[in-house]
Amino acid sequence: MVHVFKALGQAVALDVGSGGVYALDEIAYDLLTSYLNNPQASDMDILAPLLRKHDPAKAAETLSELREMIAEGYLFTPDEEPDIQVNTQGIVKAMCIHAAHDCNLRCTYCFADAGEYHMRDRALLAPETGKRALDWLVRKSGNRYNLEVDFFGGEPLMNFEAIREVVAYGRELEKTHHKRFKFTTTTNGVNLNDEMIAFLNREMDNVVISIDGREAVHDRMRPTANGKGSYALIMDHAKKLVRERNQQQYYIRGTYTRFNLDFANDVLHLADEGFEQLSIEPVVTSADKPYALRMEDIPRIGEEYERLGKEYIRRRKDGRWFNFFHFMLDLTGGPCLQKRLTGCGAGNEYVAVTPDGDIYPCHQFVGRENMRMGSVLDETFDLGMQTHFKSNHVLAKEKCRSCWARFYCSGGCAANAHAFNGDIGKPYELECSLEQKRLECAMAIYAIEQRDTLSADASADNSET
Amino acid sequence: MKHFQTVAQPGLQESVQHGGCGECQSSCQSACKTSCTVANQSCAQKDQELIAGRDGKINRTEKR
Repeated sequence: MVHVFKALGQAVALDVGSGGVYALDEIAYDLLTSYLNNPQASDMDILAPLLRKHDPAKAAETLSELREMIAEGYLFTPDEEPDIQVNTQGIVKAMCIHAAHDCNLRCTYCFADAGEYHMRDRALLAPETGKRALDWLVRKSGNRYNLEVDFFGGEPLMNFEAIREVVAYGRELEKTHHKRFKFTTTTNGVNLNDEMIAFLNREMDNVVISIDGREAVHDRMRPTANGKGSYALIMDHAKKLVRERNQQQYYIRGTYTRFNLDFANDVLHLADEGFEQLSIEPVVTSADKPYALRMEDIPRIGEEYERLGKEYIRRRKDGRWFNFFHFMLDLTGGPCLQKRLTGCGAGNEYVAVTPDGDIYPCHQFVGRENMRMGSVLDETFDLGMQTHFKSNHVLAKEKCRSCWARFYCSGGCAANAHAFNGDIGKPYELECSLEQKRLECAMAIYAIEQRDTLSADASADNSET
Repeated sequence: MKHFQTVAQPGLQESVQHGGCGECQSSCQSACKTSCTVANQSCAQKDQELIAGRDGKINRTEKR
């Protein structure tokens, strides 16, 4: 399968089966489009639509190149199904620990119901439960060396002392079990103080701070418990934390909704404020909410990603570098096919643990009926459910098998599929459309930046000689 | 090739040979809490400085 598209004015062809990506000029784009309409057509028929627009000799030359690309295995490689066994040992290597089912914000779009996860009780993780969770993870991790633990909520820093104790315990386990814990904390930043910043910057491999962008956009959706805006409470703390970890290994993560379809301005605002690692994601919520994204919004959102992409390239080139998580694409050192089949690993390699010690497939499944997998306290674990999630790889999903993006999104979010379609094997359509658009932008950005780099290198070489 | 410029070499199928170690990051652990994105995760076996930029400013610097 070959996917041909234009994004940010750049024409690109992706050979889905092999992962080959090619930048096309206008004539190659037109030719491939014609070829895809009928690959069995004669050369004359393939070239016919081009002749009104392009020089016949150049069109023939491009067709000759296309035939060569196909013959040498660069394009239209067979869509063979890989023969891969995916984590058959039941290994779990990543865990989201809910340090607090409580929150000091009342974000309108919160899937966790102000931190309570629809459990009708606010709760804090006891340090002992957190330690049992790490013990459980070590036991389930087999020969995996790197174990990831994300402290999540609610607002995890409402239970800072427990986090500190659990991390200290983890460091002891590392020594006795030859493991490496990579800790992350995802926080709204409200409670951050100097002591917490020092701790997080010392112990966390990654820190994620939630800020939606411009002050008015952020405050509209992320008020405090008493209804005031939270932007002003967070920004100085966030900047200090980021400065003191030298702009390394963190994300400012926000959510955009139907209320700010001009979300590129929010990304750029955060960049203007000096943050270099940014992730702004679409809200996921039921369609009856006024801020929910709708299918009819997709063209507008696509244009916004294009607008962001163009400015992204411009700024990265002129010295105002920043990274947008959803435009990151590792085309040379990216994940292996095994990883691309299994996706995020929810319910399989990745689980969430509540303050009560209950295990769920991931943070988004917490509190959903019939999705509890067991408990780190009584050692129960639903292997059947783990197998169900493990089997739910991208090629097992009917909709994904024919999608060009299947090895890049890896089948999408199981929690969203479950929430919207009642089946972890049926992806959420809106998410698919947005992911495809982001991927197209990411590939185009990659192609444009690569061309600019090569061109700059060539200019430098010429000036030296 | 004048009209087709290679941006990324085909190599996905070959990754099966060296892949599957399971040491790479889970996407939900980075900055992706609501929209699964996998292809931007780097391979833990490779030099990770290739990923997010060419000027050394990256989000994951660890090498193995």
